[in-house]
Amino acid sequence: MRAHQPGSTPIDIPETVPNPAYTPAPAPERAPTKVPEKVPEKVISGIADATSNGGLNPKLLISGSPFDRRAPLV
Amino acid sequence: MAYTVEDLLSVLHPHCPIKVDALCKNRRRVEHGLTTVGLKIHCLGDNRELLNFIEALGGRSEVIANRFYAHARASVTVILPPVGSARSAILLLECIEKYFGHPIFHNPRYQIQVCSPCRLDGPRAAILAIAFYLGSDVLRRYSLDDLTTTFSEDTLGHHKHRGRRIVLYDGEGDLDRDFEWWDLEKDRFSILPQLPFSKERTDVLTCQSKTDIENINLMATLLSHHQALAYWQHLGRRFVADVEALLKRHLLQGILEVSWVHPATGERADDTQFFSALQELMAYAFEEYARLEKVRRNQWWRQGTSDRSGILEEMQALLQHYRAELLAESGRLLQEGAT
Repeated sequence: MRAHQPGSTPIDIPETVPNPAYTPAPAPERAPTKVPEKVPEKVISGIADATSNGGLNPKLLISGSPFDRRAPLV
Repeated sequence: MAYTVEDLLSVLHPHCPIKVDALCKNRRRVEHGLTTVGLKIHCLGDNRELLNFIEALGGRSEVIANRFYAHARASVTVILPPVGSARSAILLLECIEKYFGHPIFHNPRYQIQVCSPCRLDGPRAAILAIAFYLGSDVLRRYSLDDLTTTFSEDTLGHHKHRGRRIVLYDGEGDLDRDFEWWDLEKDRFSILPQLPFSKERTDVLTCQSKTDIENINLMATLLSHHQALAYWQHLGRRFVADVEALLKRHLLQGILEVSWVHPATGERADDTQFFSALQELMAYAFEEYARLEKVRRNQWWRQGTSDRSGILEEMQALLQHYRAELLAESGRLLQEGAT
């Protein structure tokens, strides 16, 4: 991509560029230790679910082509 | 079949023992009430190191029959165990980089998918996608092909079409809920021992950097707490208003009206309106990039003159402001808890 106005020097812009406004955040502070818990019992029991422990369960997906997604990669 | 976190950490341990030990200790630790982080690594193209990694984790018996989100051009997609913080997520990826012997961050061979609990509604998902794009340390020019996943069009009749988007909902898979969640109970701070979501997630595709992970973690926290009326809802409300005002100042408010996330209604997605809005945003951002480059090149004669800030700088300032405010309030909570 080329971006320029008449009379100015054109700038070549690739498809991916560093964000010129980006400034690195300061080093993260030490995480706080846990504050005293005030957990309502009803909320805990309401969300308990014995069957759920997978989450983004660690699994692997190996796909061949997007058209045959069960094919293992060779 | 799933491999265990212990399998993963034992494979990584010989390559970076100190970081793996830190992960073992802190993997489930939630920091500052920020949301948990799930990760997927999509490898675009062949990758011997990744295949070795898979073999080390149990081999191809780990291949699953169900369809999971994967980039359509991904040869391999690895789903990593969720962790309690962006810091742990970055640590985990650094360990895997060490194992591979080459970088994952800023490597065009990889796309990182960052998964956060809670299905953000349409307007909040739009804010997440737009702020992710403008706030990243990398500006990208997407094609629709870059956003195509195995769920873009569900050809198996399960009606899980998700279209081509930067932000996607879960495919109704599982969610590990065993992480703390900072909540409000009758306007009082409380910590729930589990996430208050059964399996709902909002994922951001095409991440490339540590900054992307940190930014998504911050924004997903603000937006999900705003939606779920949890502890950080007051910051989330202001963040939404600030991003909307920013877009209005730059005459981009119209892009909020299109669907930045497919609503998962089972209907096929129409990607055209979304992509036109994304193209408008990309064009605006790259124009700003060109302006800033010219300013940088001409700095010697512009010194001392005032300069307007553009959309990219304003988004950086917003993210820095909200990160600082959240950390400051979390610090105050810590002090109050200690006294």
